[in-house]
Amino acid sequence: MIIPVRCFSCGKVIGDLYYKFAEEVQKGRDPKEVLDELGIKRYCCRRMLLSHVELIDEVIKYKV
Amino acid sequence: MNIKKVFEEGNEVKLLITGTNIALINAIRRTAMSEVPVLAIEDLAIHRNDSVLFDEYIGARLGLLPLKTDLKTYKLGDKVKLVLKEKGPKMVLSSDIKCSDPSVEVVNKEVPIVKLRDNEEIFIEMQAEANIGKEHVKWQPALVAYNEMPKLEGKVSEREAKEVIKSCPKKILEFKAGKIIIEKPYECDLCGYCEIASKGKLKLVPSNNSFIFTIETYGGLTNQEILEKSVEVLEAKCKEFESEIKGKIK
Ligand code: SF4
Ligand SMILES: [Zn+2]
Repeated sequence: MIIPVRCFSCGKVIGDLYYKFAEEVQKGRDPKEVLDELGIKRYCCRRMLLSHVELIDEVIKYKV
Repeated sequence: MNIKKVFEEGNEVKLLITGTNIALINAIRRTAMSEVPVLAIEDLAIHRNDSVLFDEYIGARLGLLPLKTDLKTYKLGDKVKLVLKEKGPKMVLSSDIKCSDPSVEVVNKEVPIVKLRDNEEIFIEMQAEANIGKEHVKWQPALVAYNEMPKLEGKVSEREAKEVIKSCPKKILEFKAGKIIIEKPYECDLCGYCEIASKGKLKLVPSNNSFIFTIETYGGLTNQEILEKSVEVLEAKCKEFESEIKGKIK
């Protein structure tokens, strides 16, 4: 739905990095390079960004 | 005991601690992670939430935000009020949270909390509490780890040494004065490839009295504060044990 605040495994805050990451990747850059640049070392945190599907924009069209 | 800083980058510090034992290092690690108080959002009053995310969902997200904590003013159990009031259309970020005490602030300013559409509103009053990691992970101040300092024992010829050095995936081995040494032992992940490449001539031995101690704060407290406080807590526990046991056993 929306990027989790922290990494599920180690607890590092990764929520603030997602939009920077997504923007760079959309430009066609290699995700590995972008993750390294953002200083995300552990693979637990890397998968948080890599595997995230941002769905909030789909859901927001409807009302609760 | 001797402590040397071997690496520092961002929130992370690596220390080389020599002349001690694993029991003490482990005690410090556990106290640092689960007994050092830090602020985190605990209670919420949700006055208005028009967003598509449930109240609980937003509450869980808010609780996980690290808050900058001054340990001199905030002791275990102390509370402070915060408020979040925003109107759409916008992405509500962690920096939109206002605190009644200016010394308390969110560490990561750009964490998305929820997205609001036109005219949707959100109004939440929050109370942050200083508590310990034992209670909930949101009060854990840092990630702490240690490993035994590795050392390569044995002799190889210069030709064999080339092979061994090439085999290391981290490229941290060096050949000096007829011996192979691990140049940056804190980067070694004990994979054992060097041992295999030497065909049994070298042996990777973990030390039992020197350790590489890694501490990575989430930002609420500094690494220095966390370690100092953990030692203080540990000391208080030992003192308590001492006074309790006095005169009880003949
Ligand atoms: S154990 Fe692995 S990382 Fe460590 S020195 Fe040997 S080859 Fe390199
Ligand atoms: Zn992680």
